[in-house]
Amino acid sequence: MEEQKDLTYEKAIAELEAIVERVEDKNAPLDKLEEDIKKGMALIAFCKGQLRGYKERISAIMEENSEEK
Amino acid sequence: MPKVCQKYITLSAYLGQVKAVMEEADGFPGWVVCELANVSWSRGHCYLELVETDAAGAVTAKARGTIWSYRANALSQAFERSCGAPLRKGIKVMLYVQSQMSELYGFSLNVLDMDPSYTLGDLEAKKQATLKRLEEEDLLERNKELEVPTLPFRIAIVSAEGAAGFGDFMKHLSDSGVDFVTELFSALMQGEGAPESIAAAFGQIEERSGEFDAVAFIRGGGSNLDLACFDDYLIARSIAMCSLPVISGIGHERDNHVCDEVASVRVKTPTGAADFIIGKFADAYASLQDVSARLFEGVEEALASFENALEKLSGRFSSSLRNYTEVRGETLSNLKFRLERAAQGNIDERIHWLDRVLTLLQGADPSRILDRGYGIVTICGQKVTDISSVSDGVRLTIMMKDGKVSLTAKDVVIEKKTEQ
Repeated sequence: MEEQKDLTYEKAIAELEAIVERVEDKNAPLDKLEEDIKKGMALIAFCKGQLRGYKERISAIMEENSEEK
Repeated sequence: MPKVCQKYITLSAYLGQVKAVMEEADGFPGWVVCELANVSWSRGHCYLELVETDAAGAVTAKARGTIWSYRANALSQAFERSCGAPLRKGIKVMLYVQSQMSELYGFSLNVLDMDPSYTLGDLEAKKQATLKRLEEEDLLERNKELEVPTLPFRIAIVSAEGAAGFGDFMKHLSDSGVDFVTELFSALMQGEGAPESIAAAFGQIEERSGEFDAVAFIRGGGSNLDLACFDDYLIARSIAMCSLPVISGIGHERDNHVCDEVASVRVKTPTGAADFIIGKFADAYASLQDVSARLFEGVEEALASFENALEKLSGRFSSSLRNYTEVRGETLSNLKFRLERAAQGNIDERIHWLDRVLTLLQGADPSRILDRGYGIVTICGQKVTDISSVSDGVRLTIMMKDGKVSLTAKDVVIEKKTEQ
């Protein structure tokens, strides 16, 4: 994606939600649909990557906190 | 001295002759004055030893006297009533006597009467007159109103240097261990000139009264004559007028003089005066010890009380702290657990949502339908989902797995599904 550098998790989710709404619209143009689906997949992959990162970092913090105790 | 005479008589005969002469003169009765050198009693009779002394104190005459029992009690009691003291040695008396001679017992005087007023005499009469005068001049109690300070360090001494009484006094003070400041104001302490000398000493002290705490007026024991001056008015007045309390320690225990009556404190001897002064320090020390002990006790009690309170407080603090940390620890533990779970949950939820979106998108992906061999019909890019939108002349596009084909509908035949 072109805007990957500036893309944040929140922005990705916002865009993904917009895509879902469009996809759910039965009257949505088909060519746009393909585009949306591709973009949606990419955004999902991005968000999941972000979430995995958060998960790992949070676990590390929890682990660190327990050791300090 | 005559030559040895052939004529001689026996002693008893000789004394008999003397006795006869005395009896003829009725024993030469008369009033005599003398001093009692000794007084003794036996079987109701009073036996006296009579002396006469010169100014130097040497005996110049001596005789035995007897008050027979039938008049001894009456005379002695009358004497005591007048003089305030019984017949005793050392006092001067005026006796009405009658000489008697006995071959066996020798010469003696039979005491028929006595005049107590003579005994009171010069000394006592003076003493009584002095006391009366002091009373009239309101001086009897004056020095007694002055109190010896609690710690009388600085003592002015009126005494005779080299006198035994002075030496004893100073030794006693020195042995006490207290650092007294003393100064002797030397004076004649007996005989002629003593009153003036003593008054002068008190005068010197009065000029420097601010330098002292008390006056010790001391002198050791002596005969009545020696101590007679201490009944003198001049000395008594000097003591009475003194602005410092006077501690009088004159003579022996039996002596009681006018100066003793007017002084602030009367003790029996010079050593007694030293003991009195030292005793003030002992009293003050004892009092200080008592206060110190009570203070110490009070401080100990207070400290114990504080320690107790501190211990209790410390206990409560530890307990509270333990509770606090335990509760907080528990809360914190819970919070940590919840945080962890929420964080994980939050992420998992989001992932689930993404998965659902993925499923949705995958479901909506047209290529899936095409891959299964189906085609998608569109009119102007819009999917055809209603057969009624197809009619002759409509431009259709059919999307298939390997591409798309565009055509114009012709000879359209519509077969609508019937609802069952």
